[in-house]
Amino acid sequence: MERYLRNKGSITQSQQDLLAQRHVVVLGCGGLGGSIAESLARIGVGKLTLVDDDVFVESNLNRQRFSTLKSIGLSKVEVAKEKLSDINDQVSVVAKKVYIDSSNITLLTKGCDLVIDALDNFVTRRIIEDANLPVPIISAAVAGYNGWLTISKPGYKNIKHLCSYMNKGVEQIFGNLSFTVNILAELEVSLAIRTLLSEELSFHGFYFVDLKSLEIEKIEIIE
Amino acid sequence: MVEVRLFAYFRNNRGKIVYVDPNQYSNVQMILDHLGINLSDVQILLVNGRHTHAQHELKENDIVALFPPVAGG
Repeated sequence: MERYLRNKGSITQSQQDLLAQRHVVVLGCGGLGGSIAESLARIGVGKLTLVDDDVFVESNLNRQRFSTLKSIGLSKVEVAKEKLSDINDQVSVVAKKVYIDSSNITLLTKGCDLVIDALDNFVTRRIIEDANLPVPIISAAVAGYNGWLTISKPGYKNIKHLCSYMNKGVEQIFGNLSFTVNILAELEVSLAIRTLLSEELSFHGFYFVDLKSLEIEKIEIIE
Repeated sequence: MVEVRLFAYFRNNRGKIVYVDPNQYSNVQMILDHLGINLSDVQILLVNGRHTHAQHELKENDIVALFPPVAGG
């Protein structure tokens, strides 16, 4: 298919066919989630479920992929679904304007192959990990020029290392910069595609990204 | 010496790595005081790759890593 011509060389036809059968749930459809959803759709993941109860506000415009002046006040997942259908009509997109909590996380992710955490707070991230989902979770967060990224197969608990008992981190001081958000989003996508193609990438720990020194450091934690 | 690896804004005006003498700074809290970092601002505190606490006693060649909390999206 002409659409995936430039995937070739790195993604074989059989892998492309495999991606078309995969279902990814993206939790959060803001800075990280919007970019992740777009990349997954462009590369050819067959089904995406986007979950976020939020609407676009003006302060999203500095970084969030689908935010525009016209989309302020509109549901993030509904806007994303519409934009994604313009990008790749081969992808099935389900938009769920739902607040994620411990009572619905299992149902929201039922039947998927992979969960991507693109959230913006510690409380919900912990809920996802504590749900003991039967699929891998790829997770990332940003603040200023920094971010972390991790992947946990079932049974691994990497997110707990990174979550404080507060709900927010130093992004409240240093903000959420467009380039940091997008780089971390694409790093999540790169791990997602390799995971969907059956590479085993989980480890105990995380990657820490510093865009001032242009470094990605692998931090292994001894349990 | 003890190698102290700093991450994110902890590097501002301190650099990425600081070396300290464990005979002078015998636990993590003393290093934090030396560097002017509040313990409450540290989300992840590792010594040789293991989570630990500020009173952890340090020895020659230990590696300390300090990260602030990051949650944004």
